Amino acid sequence: MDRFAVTMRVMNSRRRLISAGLTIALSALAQSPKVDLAGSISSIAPVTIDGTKMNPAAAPVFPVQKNSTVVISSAPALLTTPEKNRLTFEHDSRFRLGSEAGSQTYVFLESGAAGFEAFGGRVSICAAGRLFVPPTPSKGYVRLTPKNNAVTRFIEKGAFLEDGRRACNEKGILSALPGVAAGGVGAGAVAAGSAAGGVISGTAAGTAAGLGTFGVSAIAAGGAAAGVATVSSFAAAGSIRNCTDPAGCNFNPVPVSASSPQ
Amino acid sequence: MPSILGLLLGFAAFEAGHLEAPQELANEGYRKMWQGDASAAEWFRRAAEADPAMPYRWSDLAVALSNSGDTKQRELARYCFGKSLELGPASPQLTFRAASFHFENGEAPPGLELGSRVLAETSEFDEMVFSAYRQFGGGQEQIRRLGIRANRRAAESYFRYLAGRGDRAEASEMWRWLETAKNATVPQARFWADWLLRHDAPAAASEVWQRHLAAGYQPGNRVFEGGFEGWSGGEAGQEARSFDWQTSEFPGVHISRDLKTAHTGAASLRLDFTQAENVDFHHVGQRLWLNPGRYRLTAWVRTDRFSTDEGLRLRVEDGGLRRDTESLTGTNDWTPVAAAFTVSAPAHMVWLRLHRAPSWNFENRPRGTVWVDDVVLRELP
Repeated sequence: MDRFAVTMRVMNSRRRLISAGLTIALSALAQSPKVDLAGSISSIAPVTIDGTKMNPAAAPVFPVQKNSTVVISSAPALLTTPEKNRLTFEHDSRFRLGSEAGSQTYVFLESGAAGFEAFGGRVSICAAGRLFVPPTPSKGYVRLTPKNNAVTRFIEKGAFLEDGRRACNEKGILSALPGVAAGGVGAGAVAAGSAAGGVISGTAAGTAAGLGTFGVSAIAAGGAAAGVATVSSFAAAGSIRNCTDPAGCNFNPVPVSASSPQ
Repeated sequence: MPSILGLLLGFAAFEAGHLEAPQELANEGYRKMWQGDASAAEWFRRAAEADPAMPYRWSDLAVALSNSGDTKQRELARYCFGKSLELGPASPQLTFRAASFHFENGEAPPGLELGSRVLAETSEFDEMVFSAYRQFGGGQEQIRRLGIRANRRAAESYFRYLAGRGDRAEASEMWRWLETAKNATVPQARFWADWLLRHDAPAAASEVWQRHLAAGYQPGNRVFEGGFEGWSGGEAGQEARSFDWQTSEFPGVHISRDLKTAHTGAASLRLDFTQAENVDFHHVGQRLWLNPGRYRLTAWVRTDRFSTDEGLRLRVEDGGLRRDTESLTGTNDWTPVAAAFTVSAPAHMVWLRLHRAPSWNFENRPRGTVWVDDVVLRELP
């Protein structure tokens, strides 16, 4: 056999090896696609993920992908993210789990409230077109008031890294300053809260209810929130829509009413 | 002696009272888990320890371990899920939990395999299984191959699920798969044609209808059930009737299939006009998707004491086209009626209707009976 033939045989066998390797790699890719997991969600009441009602009688926990829309029904739901952050959504909350660059968890809150226990990674909550990013570790909540689309937020210790100054939407954080972007997001008043020894509202203690159907363990909804928070109401300083200062507008809230129990 | 026995029994009862019931331990575990408390796994572990033969205890523990987000715990969760399936292999709940675990970890094939087992056990979880498939299944081809398999019921259910989500590409792909596997049924074809019509795909709808409901067409005839032999009645809401005869209730006109009177075969369409009103009736008809060309419509009509000067005619119409056959009044034995028309390009939808126009005479309230049979529409060469 001449050198050319030998070279060709070697090249062919290499080609076959490479091709086989590529096939395996491609099929592995096809079989196990990268999961864009937002976390797993659990509740004692059904949770609707992208229009499909997920019943806790089937499974206590459902994995949920990013870019999913989730509707919470009659009981709070807990979202545990891969970074071990925990977000508790109040009953009747509706939100979209986005995939914002730079945020491990991006929640576009359409209604209801999101309590958070942030331990790692970046948790961003967009409510009424305003961005709220708690530090880690921290504990608190962001709530949307249905009537006027105002935001109430609370953090146990420290301060939010982003505190409603930046605009955001369903797709992510808007790069423009709020003065430029706010016209497009139609934000309502941003209200801030300060704690008086409160806890995340919406995390309710349940009572045991024994076995559900098919022997599934279940606990009943109910119980009162484990504490009472006192929250001061604030309104945004000036009109967001009218802010044209290119250096950025002051949206630091100013108090408009005395503290009132929530 | 009796007092010692009593003491021993009392002690045993005291001890038993202090043993925690596995279900109660598990309930506490769930309470902790739903509060985001990391100690949930410990409660489930104790429950599993107390009742290791119960598959749910292992599954509960697996869920809590998996939910912890810790890599080591996840591997323990994998073992516990395996144990739960070993103890309760036919439980759709346990199987679905394990499937969700695999999906969450990016392991689509085992997730789909377990999902297919859930679908084989029950239809109750279909939507939840399909939701997980769409999120984590890794593409329609893989979902069908591993998650649906040869399960005909699941295949139909998944097809309807996809259609229900309004995704034409995914539903069409699934439909083709059903057809290829010879799993497509007539009710499915009716459903799919109806869906395509509602989603602005009339040509595709017509094609599906004609292919799967071919038994309703005579060779060369573009009218479905033109002889009313296999017609099951046209009330809306009974089933999808995209290209079938459709009827709607109209006061004073009774619409039925007559199995005693027919021009050919054993059946005809019968209309009894009973209301003393000058009716504008056009409440029996069917859609036709027609290519450009010349067409000839023929039918056989019989009447019995049909009053007024306006009788029943067949009408073909679309936006710019209207052609009527002659109308018959009074009493007539089976009489042929016909109309020719041209369909302009491009292909489009045409309605074929039975029509009685209001009369301008003083005597304008129709009474009597009309039968229609052998409605034929042929494309002319």
